[in-house]
Amino acid sequence: MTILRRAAGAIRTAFPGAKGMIGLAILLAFTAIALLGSLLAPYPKNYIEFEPWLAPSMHHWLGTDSYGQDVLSQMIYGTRTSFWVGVIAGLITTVIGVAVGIISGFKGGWVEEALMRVVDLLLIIPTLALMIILASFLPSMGVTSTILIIGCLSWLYMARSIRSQTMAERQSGYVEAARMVGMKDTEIMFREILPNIVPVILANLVLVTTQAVLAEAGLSFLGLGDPTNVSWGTILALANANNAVLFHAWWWILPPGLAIALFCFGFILIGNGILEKYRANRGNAAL
Amino acid sequence: MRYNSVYLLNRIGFSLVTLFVAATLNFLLPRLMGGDPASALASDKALGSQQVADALKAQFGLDNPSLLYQYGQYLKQLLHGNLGISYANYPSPVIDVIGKALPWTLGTVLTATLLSYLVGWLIGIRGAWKSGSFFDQSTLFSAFFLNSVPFFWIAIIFIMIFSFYLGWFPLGQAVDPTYGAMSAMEKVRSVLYHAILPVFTLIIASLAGHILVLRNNLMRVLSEDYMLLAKAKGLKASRRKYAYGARNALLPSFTGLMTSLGHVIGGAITTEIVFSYPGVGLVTFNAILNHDYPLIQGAFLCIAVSVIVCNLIADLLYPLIDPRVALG
Amino acid sequence: MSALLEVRELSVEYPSARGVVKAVDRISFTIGRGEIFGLAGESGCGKSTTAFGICRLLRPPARLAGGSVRLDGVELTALPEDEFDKLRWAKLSIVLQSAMNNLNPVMTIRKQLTDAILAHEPDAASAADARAAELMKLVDLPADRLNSYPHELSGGMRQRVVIAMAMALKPSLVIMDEPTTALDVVVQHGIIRKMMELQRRFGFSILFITHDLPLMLQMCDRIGIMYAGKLVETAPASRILKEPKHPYTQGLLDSFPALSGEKRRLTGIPGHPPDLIRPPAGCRFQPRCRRAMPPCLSVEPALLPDRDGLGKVACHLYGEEEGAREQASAASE
Repeated sequence: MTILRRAAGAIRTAFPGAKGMIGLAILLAFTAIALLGSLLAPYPKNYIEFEPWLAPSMHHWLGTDSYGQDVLSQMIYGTRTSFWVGVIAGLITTVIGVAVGIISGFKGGWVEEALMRVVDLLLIIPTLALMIILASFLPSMGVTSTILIIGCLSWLYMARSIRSQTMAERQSGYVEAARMVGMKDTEIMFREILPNIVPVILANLVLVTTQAVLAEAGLSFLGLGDPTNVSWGTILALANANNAVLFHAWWWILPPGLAIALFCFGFILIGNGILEKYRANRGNAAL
Repeated sequence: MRYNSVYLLNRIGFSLVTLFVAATLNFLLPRLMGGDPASALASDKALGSQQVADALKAQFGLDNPSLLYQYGQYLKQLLHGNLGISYANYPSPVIDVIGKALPWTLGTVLTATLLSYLVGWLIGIRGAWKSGSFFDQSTLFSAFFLNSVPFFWIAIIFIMIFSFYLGWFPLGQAVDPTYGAMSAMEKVRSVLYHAILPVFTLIIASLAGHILVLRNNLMRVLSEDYMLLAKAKGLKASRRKYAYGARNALLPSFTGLMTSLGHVIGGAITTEIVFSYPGVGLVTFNAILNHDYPLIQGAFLCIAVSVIVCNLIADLLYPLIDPRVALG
Repeated sequence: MSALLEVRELSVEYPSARGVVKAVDRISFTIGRGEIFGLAGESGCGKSTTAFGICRLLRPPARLAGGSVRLDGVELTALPEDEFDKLRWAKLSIVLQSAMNNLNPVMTIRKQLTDAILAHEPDAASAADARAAELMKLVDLPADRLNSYPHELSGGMRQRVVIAMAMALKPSLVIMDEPTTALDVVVQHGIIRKMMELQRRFGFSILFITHDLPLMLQMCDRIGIMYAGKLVETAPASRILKEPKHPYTQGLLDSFPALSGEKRRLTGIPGHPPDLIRPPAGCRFQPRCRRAMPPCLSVEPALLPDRDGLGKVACHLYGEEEGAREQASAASE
């Protein structure tokens, strides 16, 4: 009982507020689908033996597409791709963004100037355009390259946000104290400052993950994903290419978009919960 | 005149450097990805002519193994507006293919960005002024939703509802099939009629960011002392809201307006595919399908250049609306 | 002579996560015509909140929880918003604490001076510019500064602009909430001198708020001392200086260097102000008071006139059996 209660307390701290709890529930559902996909899906992946353009029914909850594939099964397999691309690319982005942000925010001087100039420069060039160039010149596209491309190109905003947070932390007493006792810069940055800005990092992680999911959908829609794989983006790309609208096949169009929206929404709810709580705590400290 | 030369030179210099970086990325990235530059720009098979391929190879220095030499030649050709020849549209030069597509994209994207900014501004301000109200809560919720769906999905849904079921707008394209035989007035009507839904899509899809930013900014401004003093002065609520609050909330978001332009162009790429709208996005999509590498690279450059130029314009306008900039 | 401002039983509270905070608890005082009245106390004692409550500028969730404010016989708390807007600035202007953020950064000084005038006298459009120039002269600023933006002026100049603005409609009461706190000492003196000069010239009343007690003793005719949302003593400034009655006032005076005369040892007041959600029973100062007595723990002292009728004090030391108490305390010292 006490263990359960303590666990519940820990979850409530990590995912503050009702919003945070709803967000957590959404994400857990998607995680389950991503992990157990092949068990949950009613039919095998890319199985095309059904009649095309079937409306939703007991046999096909989300109908079938123009190729005769079961849309629900494709959605479930697609969850795996979108989920992992989002999560892993989000993590890569976070590592780069945090490193650049903390280093430039803490070091200041020419290091900061140089790094932030680079960030400003790259921010102007539309990220999707850069991704297109990279993806279209790769000899072959797989999930790994999608993840790498998205992960390595999405850290700019995050670096900025982490930098300004680090600059604020740099003023505080514990950093001064760490310097007095002669800690090395890298130690101060990653042992002292990093733990103190975890909420900001988490909130950013949540945002870049949703961005990664959206970027994956965009790249797949442009035909730059793994052609043998299925993701929410490829389902939509096929629906669009096969004029699903003209066949009234809303069951092919609505689910992938709503899935993306719901998934991102879960992340955003958690992120906002974390940020609100962090701000509230900070606010009290300032008073 | 509020400009000072340092600010001016700084912004122009920054734009030039950005242009240079974009051009360099365009040169380097395909090579880093392991692509073969000769087949990417001058494949005799894709072009269908050994002669043309050899001429292109010479122009771009691809007959010389030195990367530096190739880079020099590439920059030189770039300055002459030579981006190579489009494989799929042989013998049209890339620059011509893009030149035809760019006005469609810029027209819809710029209109949508400005309108979206305006609408987001009004909604964000109203929300912050009465924060916590039903209006505020519901727009916040919608903004979060819109922030988490792809542009192209909204485009498909809009086509399904407004074009297919309601029949209010065409299913796609930028003009009617009979455009060639139309009078000038009819042509204008045709263009506008076809542009409404794509622009509307871009507005809705990019609205969320503006609402959130403006709302946050105004919330911060509302806690400033000058807002309190404005109230103590007995100024009318509308004057406090707009001349004091909104104007101050607007300024920090102005630079964000141009950053959002890049975001909207990114969204326009996929939206144009859905609408079969003949802009840079559709060109890029077809180029990807056809492995038309010169065109992909050209499209990237042209998107980058458009955004950089728009940014510069915004930077130059900024001192005119914020008295603190050029002097600070 | 009737008082210009009568504050009676004014309370301000705001909800918090732990409960309702009583930031200002049933305080009463009056300000006469042409009088400079000071409110002093530690930060967080409710002095600024009182000022904001009087001019209805409380930021939600803070709200008036009761009491009455009469300005020139008009009840302010019950006035509809649009009626009150007409009265703002025309009768009651305010100078706020921060010199940096008092002015709208994207508007010229001229616009900010004239919009205060035009909001109340829409027909004054043609004369507004000339009046703005006059106001600048009033505070010794050149008229060409009217075209400047706030960031182009120094902190002291900005605060002069704000003071000029407060004079724009010749109000009968000017509330000054720490008007010179953010400025350096030399600039501060110049501004205080200017304010006093303008006050003598136009004869308006001032509600002056500061934590700088020496400054207040110099400037004000009468002073009110606040502690934890309560008014604990009011008296003429000279009387507060020479003969502070409330132990808190005494403690406050002891924590500042003497203005003149012999050097004293500075002593602070030990302890912290109480929790305003659950204030201590009886006298709120009692946990920190060196002279606390049994009744202080249970009976809240009322603010009662003292013997000579010059001031008022809320302390059991000066109750009905004042004489006896004073003897007792003298004996114990």
